[in-house]
Amino acid sequence: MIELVGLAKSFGAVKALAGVTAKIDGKLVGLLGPNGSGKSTLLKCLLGLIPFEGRATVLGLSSATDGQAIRDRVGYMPEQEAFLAGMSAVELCTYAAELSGLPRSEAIQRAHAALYYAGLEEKRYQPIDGYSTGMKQRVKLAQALVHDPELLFLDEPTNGLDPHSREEMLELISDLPQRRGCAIVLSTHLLPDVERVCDHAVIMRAGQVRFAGTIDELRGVRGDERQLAVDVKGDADKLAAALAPTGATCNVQSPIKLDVDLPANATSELLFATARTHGLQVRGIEVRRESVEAAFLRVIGEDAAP
Amino acid sequence: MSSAIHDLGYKRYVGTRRASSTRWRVIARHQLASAWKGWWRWKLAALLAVIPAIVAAVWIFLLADKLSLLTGGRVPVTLADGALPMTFGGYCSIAFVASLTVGASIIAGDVQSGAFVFYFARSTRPIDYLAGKLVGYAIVIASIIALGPVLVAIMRVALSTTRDTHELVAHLALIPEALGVGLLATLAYTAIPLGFSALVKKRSQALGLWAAYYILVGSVLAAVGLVGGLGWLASLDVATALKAIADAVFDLPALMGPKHVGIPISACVISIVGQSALALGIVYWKLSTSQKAGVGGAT
Repeated sequence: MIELVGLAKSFGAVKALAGVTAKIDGKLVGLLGPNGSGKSTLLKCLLGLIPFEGRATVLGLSSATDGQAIRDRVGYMPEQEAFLAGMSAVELCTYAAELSGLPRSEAIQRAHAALYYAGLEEKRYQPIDGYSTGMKQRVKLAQALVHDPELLFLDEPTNGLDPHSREEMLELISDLPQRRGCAIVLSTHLLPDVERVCDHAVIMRAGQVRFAGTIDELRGVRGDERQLAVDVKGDADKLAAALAPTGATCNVQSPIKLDVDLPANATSELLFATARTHGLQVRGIEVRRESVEAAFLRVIGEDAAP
Repeated sequence: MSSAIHDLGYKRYVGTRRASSTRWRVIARHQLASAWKGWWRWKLAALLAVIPAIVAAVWIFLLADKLSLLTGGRVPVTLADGALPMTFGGYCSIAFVASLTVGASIIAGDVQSGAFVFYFARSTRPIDYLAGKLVGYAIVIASIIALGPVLVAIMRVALSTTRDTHELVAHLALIPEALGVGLLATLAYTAIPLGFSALVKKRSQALGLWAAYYILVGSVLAAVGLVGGLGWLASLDVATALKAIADAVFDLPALMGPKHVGIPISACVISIVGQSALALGIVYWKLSTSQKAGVGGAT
């Protein structure tokens, strides 16, 4: 989907992108990084809006020479408001589709379909100026996908939304690759959003890609067979107490769940044996993995926040 | 939650897309449509433009042979002869009103509403945006400042009862002359307000800046230039330059006395074309920098 080879961009003495080489694939990709990490510059380079050194291809097209063709095949949902004064949602989306090369009759039809899909079916004839934040986010999504893009860049799509609207927006985002066959790059501060919808992640720091791969790879790098999440029948406190003399460290999460760190050289057999000895029943066991947030902090270095 | 998702039988678009070189037409059409919205923009200007046309019609058809008092009796010019040059000033004023209600806020309005991101995240190039806005808005202005004088020129030709071929040809020549002057004025009232619109980030500021330049700065330049005998300085005033050109083209200076004597017509043309070119340069620079800066992630 996206390939970067030695991508570099400087603004005066500031290196915004320092020779980035990465291959980005996946249907739902989370683009993460602290402020100033180079995400905006990367996006501009990918869309062919600014010159750069190195090579970048999007959907098989060169960002250096085929910027216009790329932008016809890509949809962009900006974080900030990007509307035209006095227009209704259906007018805006029709105009957006026409600007991407669709004939007017097709543009009108797709504008209605996109707004209906985004949940604005009843409000689409009203001026956008009077919309709530949630409705404006939906219009931004609709105008980004109205021209049938193969790749969508979504910039903070859940910004300013209440929990219910946020959940609906994430539901729409999750649904897009399956229903519309487009891939999504989700740039956000909200790591739970990435954890909720993304299957891949790209983490940037100081103009470099620190990680590019699946969410499982991101979280699983720290997977350790001695760090376990355990479900028990009965009292988790009892199992914790029973494991204490063996040198295991336990952290009870709930009456039936606990995290267990086994001592060096021990295996899960120690856990089962201890439970058996004390008449406790282990119902589930899995290697404990990091949250996306913990993995993100580890990748960028714990001194930097998202 | 799935119930929140409505899909009207989505199908991937497989038809051809229009060439990117035609996107300016979409923008021009949108510009025309937005100028037509509301009674106080294009509609108001078009309504006002009817007034000089009616005045000209009265002069030409009803008072044709009456001598104009505007020459102080020095030259026997009839109201029919004076209709075109006299009403041109009125059309300029109406074009200025349209430039305030429609033109001056075009780019500043887009900056204010964040529309550059909307345009430039797509395949729209700065040149497409500029051409679209320029053509769309120019049609609005031309419908006043070019169409109006051409209409008056046609009325003047229609009245002509002369059997003298030379006189008839002279009258016929008024039509392309009126069109030429009208198009030059269209350039001025289109490009220069757009230039001011590109200088600031708020619609109200753009409007105020253009009004101040046209009315205050222009009046000062014209007054100092005329009083001081500095014709080239007076030609920097858009209204004065256009009036001087119109008077020269419609043969009025000889009739009207020394008001515009001393303002070289070449300086007026250079002033209009130069200011317009400078304004368009500013707009293009603004668009190019906005395209590079206007799209990006926030995190």
